[in-house]
Amino acid sequence: MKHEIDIKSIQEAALLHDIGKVLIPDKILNKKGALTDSERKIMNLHTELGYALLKQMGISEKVLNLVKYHHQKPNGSGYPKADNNFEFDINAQILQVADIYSALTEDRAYHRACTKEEALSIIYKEVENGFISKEVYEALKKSI
Amino acid sequence: MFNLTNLLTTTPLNNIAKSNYVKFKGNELKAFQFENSSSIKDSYTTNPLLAKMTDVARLENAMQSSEVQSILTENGIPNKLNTKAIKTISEHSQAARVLAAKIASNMG
Repeated sequence: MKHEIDIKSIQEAALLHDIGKVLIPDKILNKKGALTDSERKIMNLHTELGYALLKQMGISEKVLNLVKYHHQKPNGSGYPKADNNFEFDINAQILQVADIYSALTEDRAYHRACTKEEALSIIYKEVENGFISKEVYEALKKSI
Repeated sequence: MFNLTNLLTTTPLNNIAKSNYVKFKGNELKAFQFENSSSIKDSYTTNPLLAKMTDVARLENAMQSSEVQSILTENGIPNKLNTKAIKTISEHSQAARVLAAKIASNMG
């Protein structure tokens, strides 16, 4: 994992990480209920669509990759599929955790916003599963 | 119990919880603070970079690229901008930005 923290890139990528969702049809983006497999496949494309859109807009490659891989996991089991040269980046992990916590604590179409404790509990399970680093989790706890 | 993967990939971005909204004040990371609910809407200001990148004309131009068109065509996604989603994406992204900066600043 790349360990050098780049706050500027993290902030820029955080602002732009979901921009690909502007190409996801509303019936999928705002569906009340679980997505079908085919709908999920389309929803998951928001990372690649965001990358492709932002590539036309003069965004740095570093930020583009954070946008593209903000749903990727350290072992490469997330999405989009990581290529052979993929190296998980601590900056992507920080963005991912901020995204997860924000999403969990926002009201959504089919669930209420989680409390801080509920959100931390859910995220900690990802730590236990090896998908989120303990270090980032501890930094999250200090940040909320 | 929530399924984290489902939650993050399937949920709309509307109805941001006011209690979790944040506002940047000053230039130092430590100056980030959570706003109380009554001032959330008044304090909402779109980040200039985000405003620029979510400009509809700019997005419509960018979505004509061969790479974007290829993804859309291969996956049967309509070649249409979901303009309704822009505001909610922006709100979520700005909250994520502030939190991400705080997390980064709290990393050992």
